[in-house]
Amino acid sequence: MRQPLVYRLLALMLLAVAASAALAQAPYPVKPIRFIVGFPPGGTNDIVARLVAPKMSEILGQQVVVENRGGANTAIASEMFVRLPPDGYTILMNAPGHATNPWLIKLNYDSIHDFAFVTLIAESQNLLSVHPSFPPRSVKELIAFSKKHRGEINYGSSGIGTTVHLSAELFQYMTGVKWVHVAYKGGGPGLVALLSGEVSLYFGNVPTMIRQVRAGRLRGIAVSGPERSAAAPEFPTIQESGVPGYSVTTWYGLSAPAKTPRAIVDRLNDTVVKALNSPDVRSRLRDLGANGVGNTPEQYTAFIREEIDKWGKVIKAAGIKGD
Amino acid sequence: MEFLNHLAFGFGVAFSLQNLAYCFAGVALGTLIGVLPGVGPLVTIAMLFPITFHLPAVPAIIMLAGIFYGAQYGGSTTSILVNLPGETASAVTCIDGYQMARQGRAGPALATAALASFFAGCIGTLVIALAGPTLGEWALKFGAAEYTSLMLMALVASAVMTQGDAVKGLAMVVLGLIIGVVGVDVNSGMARYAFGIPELVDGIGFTVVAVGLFAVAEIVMNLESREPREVYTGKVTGLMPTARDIKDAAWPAVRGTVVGSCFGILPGTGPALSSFATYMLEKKLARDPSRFGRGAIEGVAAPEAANNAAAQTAFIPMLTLGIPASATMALMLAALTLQGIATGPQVMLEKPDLFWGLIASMWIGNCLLVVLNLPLVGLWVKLLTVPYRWLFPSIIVFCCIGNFSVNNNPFDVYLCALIGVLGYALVKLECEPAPLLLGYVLGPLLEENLRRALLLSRGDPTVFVTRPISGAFTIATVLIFIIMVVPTVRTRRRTA
Repeated sequence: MRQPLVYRLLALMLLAVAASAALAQAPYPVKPIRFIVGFPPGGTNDIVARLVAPKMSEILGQQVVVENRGGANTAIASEMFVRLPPDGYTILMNAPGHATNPWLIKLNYDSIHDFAFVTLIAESQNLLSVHPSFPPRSVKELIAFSKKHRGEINYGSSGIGTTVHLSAELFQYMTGVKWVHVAYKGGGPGLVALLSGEVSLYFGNVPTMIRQVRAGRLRGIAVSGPERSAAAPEFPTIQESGVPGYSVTTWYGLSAPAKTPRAIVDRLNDTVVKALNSPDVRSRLRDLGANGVGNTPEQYTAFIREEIDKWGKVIKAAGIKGD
Repeated sequence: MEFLNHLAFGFGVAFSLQNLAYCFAGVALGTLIGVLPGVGPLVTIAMLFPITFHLPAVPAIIMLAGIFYGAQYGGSTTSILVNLPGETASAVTCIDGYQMARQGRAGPALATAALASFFAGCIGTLVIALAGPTLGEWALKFGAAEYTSLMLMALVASAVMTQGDAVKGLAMVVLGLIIGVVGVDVNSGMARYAFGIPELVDGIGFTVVAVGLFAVAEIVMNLESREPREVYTGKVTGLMPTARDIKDAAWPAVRGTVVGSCFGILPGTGPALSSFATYMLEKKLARDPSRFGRGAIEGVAAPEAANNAAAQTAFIPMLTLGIPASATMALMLAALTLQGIATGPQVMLEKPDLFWGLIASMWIGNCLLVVLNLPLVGLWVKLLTVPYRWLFPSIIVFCCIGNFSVNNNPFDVYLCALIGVLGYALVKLECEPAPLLLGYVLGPLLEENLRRALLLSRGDPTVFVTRPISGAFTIATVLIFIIMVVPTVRTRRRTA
């Protein structure tokens, strides 16, 4: 390629002009940001988003507006989301459904490569609770009892593919016990079933369960996460009670579409971390039973990969089928 | 006496200027969103959610509750005026309410709806105050077998709903059932009738079906007729119900209140089912059932009373057990949680100001609603004088906004249009949309609970008879069936 020097110089100058124009542009963000939540209003995901969004608006100096697009356990929102321009003006709330959907339904997007993962916002865990009439009082007793009564114990869930369901599936997968799954439409009916004794076991989120446990209507056994819950420190983790490696958390994360410039991803990451450092957001999250995390994009991406792998194994082993 | 002390205390809380203001804001907003189709209390409460962070707990919950039960008042307005159910529960009100409006009796219909709602709301609140905890426990006695038997009874009784051709009625129920089972099956997690469309995986929303079948189909029908249709106010016969109307509507409103109070307590089934149930009951009790569907005032009073009573008693599981009966309730619970209030079985003891203040505010709210709604009747009726070329496009626009706002997804709007086509075809075929809606609501519930009951009993069908409550429903179902079949058999013998 032999081009006259003049042309090369011209090209160089043009590039310089373009670069300086880009630099001269007002810094991100210059307009409101849409924060997409893959659930209808009212769920914990929605609430976490609406908790963090005002603080993010304050930090960024632009409105962060929560928009709900529910359906198919976040798949509908994700599918729309990955087609949006990667300019940082639309961001998405990820949930555990992001990691289970690839194994349950046919997706028109790639759950890893179509996203630029920003940060894990918060994590919460489930409390394995039983009806007071159910004999076992600890994880060890539960395993022994379940082995004796194989296939006789019913456990409830708030629906197929929810963390309530998968917590129990992982438990069975790791301990070799066999329970019968009874699915309900949402957490409300699931809780009623446990309170009335229609099912014996339920992995419900800590704040909901702890109220019933403290009122003596349910008995708590252990929490599902890797560490004890601040809201219910009296309960051991399942991990420390004899099922090493067991860990299920319900998590709330933030992502942008793939190819979003690194500078914008970092800015968003920084914003969420700052928002999570505010005592107000922190304490409100704690009321919901969630702990603020705010890790790096790399850590969050690695976390997503682990979650997808973990649930793939459990879903295959349990023979759960979706579409 | 203790009860009266509690109530006095509650009114003391609710009558503070701040709480009164939030109560008014809540019910006024509730009325407004009730009128708009599709924009339900859930979306509204979600949008107001961040505001509640800055409010103390008591006014926050008073306002949110006001939105919830206020929406039940507003929902009847468009049902009556333009055959457009603003709320799930008011779909039944369309049947007779709209006919009344066509006969120039929109005023009495609206006023009856407001008064019946007021009566039911007051009684429903009294039920919470007097028997909340006991009834909360009662709700726990309803398991899968009980729900199955209850749904079966409702479906058998629904044969009463159908007018004219029984075969067509049955076909409509089945069609509704098919639409209802679209989406992921609760028990197995498999998507059914979704055709690989992700939007269908979660099923077809009630708003989409109701708006499509009622509003869109109705407007298309009206456009078809060439002559400029007489505006129904042309023969308005007074805005307020006559003494006779009140006499006719009184007992149905009482019965509707009782039915609604019972259904409201059951988490998940709530107001919609109660208005269907009470409509069937009224039709069965009426001396002349053929009046139903042709503008019977009982057909407005009873379901409106029922859905309002249910909207009040739906608070019982939440207040006494900490169980959210619906997504809207879950959001209210979350609002309380974020205020640092653990709503559980002990909220009555731990937070008496919240519990009794809320109950007292419900009474005040119901009074405000009736004061707000009665004068509005005249205004609403005037709305009918708006020429159709303005009215119809506005209704359609509101329908689209409503459907879109549920999931912010245009797919729902297209789907609603498609169902509108189906609705038009059904009108042409002289098929009633109401039984379809019933099948849509009841069918999936029946299936879900039947399969769950059998899963829990490991395949033993005797649970439906051996469990006492379920057994009672089963016997009632058989009795209803006999009552319905015997007269037909007799007449057939006579004619033969």
